[in-house]
Amino acid sequence: MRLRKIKEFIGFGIVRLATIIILLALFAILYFIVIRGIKVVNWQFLSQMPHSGMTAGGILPAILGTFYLTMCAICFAFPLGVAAAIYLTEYAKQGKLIRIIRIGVSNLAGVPSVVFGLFGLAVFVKFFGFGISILSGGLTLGILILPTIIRSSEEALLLVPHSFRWASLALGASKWQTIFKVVLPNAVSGMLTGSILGIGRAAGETAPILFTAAAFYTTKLPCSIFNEVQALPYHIYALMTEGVHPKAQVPIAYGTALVLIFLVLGINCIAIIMRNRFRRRQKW
Amino acid sequence: MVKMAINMDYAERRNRDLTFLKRFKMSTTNLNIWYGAVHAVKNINLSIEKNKVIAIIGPSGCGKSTFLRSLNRMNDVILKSRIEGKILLDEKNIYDTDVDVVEIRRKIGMVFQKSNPFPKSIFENVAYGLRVNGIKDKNYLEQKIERSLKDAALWKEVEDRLDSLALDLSGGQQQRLCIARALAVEPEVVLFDEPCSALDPTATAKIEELIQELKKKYTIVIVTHNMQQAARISDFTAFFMLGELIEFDKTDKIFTAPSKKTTEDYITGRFG
Repeated sequence: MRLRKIKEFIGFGIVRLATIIILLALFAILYFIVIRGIKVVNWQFLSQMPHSGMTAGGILPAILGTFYLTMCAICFAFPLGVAAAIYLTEYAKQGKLIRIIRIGVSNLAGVPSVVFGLFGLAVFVKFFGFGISILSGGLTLGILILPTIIRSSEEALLLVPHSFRWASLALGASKWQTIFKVVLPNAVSGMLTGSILGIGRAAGETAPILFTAAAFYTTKLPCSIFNEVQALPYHIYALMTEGVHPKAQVPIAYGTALVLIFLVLGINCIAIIMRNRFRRRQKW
Repeated sequence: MVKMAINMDYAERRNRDLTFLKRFKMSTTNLNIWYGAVHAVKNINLSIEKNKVIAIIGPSGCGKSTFLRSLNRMNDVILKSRIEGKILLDEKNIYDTDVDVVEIRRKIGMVFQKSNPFPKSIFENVAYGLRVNGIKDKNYLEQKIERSLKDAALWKEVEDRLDSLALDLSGGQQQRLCIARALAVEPEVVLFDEPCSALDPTATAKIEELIQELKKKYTIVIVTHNMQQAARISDFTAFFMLGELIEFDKTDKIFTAPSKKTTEDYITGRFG
């Protein structure tokens, strides 16, 4: 009897410890970045161009660049991913082929991001001739987050009760009408949540934009999707690996990291709030 | 002489067929349904009279719901099944390749076991079937929705809150809303799949009363678990067991003098 209690105590102790370690890791990262980065972050840092060879000034072009890239990625990936999810869950005859496609999508999620970068370089930059640009980088990031969007859209679609579909079909609605008038309106919040998580992922990636969109240093803001841009993750990379004034550059890198991390956390928070709202509202 | 006799015979038969068609809204001929290897519905021949209530009773898993769902081709979507035989709606086999399934489902409405209103307003729930059938005129929609809600005996309870969410209604009200929604598209036949199984006695009584009223305009087929219900509301009763149609007759006869021993055993509660 005592032994059983001791076992239980040790068992729960281990799982509790594991949870604490994970939390600690998260807070350690946050603490480390905040402490080192907070000194340089102020309004000028967010709103000015870099100058003096990136040893001074702000990171406005990188913030805008990341914004443009993720917008481009989501505009490309959201409709495509949602369409694919509709096909996979609503139209396609469930069978071997669909299983293979699903496995393919899952594997796409597991491809290292630098490989997406190379793919983007070969296809968008060279083959389509978009050059190193917001468009090339956005499309590459779009492909990167496509599996996330397809998966979350499929889940959102499957969560819509079958009885809604039956009711609609039994009233003489076509399959297409059923999907657009009944299924999609009830799935769209779930789809958006997944896609916002995708945006967070896209905003933080360095490798896919390395060869496709990122500029080391620009003196003017991009004015078309065919311009190359600075982006937050790549800016950190550039500051830490290149340049000749590490003393001036490293604090800026931490400041940039702080901005990036809060941007991504913010995006994820929006997704979580949306999901909770949506769950509260649905009563079925 | 001989030829004339044949002609007369033909005319007579033709007349008989016509009266048959006038009398019967739907009929099934040698209907068989399989789920994979499971033979769920076996060789059913049954004719459904116009403006009557036909109850289908039988123990769980006897194929009664499967049979019902084959009548408006909902089996095509709900569970993948294979079907053989004919189901006529008026003169047309609804499983013919040139038949528009969507049109069939509009003509043969269905109310499900669990009420399933859309997460929209009461108004939009009833309007849905009309909208998907291309009706946009606001006045017409409003009239039609009022009519349907009145026919479903729900109007008085909801007339001042048509814009509130359908899911806020009580269970019985939701089921009547689903009936109103089905009636709005002007079906010819309405199928009920155990519509009261999730409702309390008061709500059930309301729906039973409603079905009595509805048969003036529609032909009704209702699957029910509840034998008293079948006895109360139906004109004809079909008793199914293990996928077979054991007996089909006037409800009075089934419940007072069934011709088969199995039927008698079932309705007297010896099994099921």
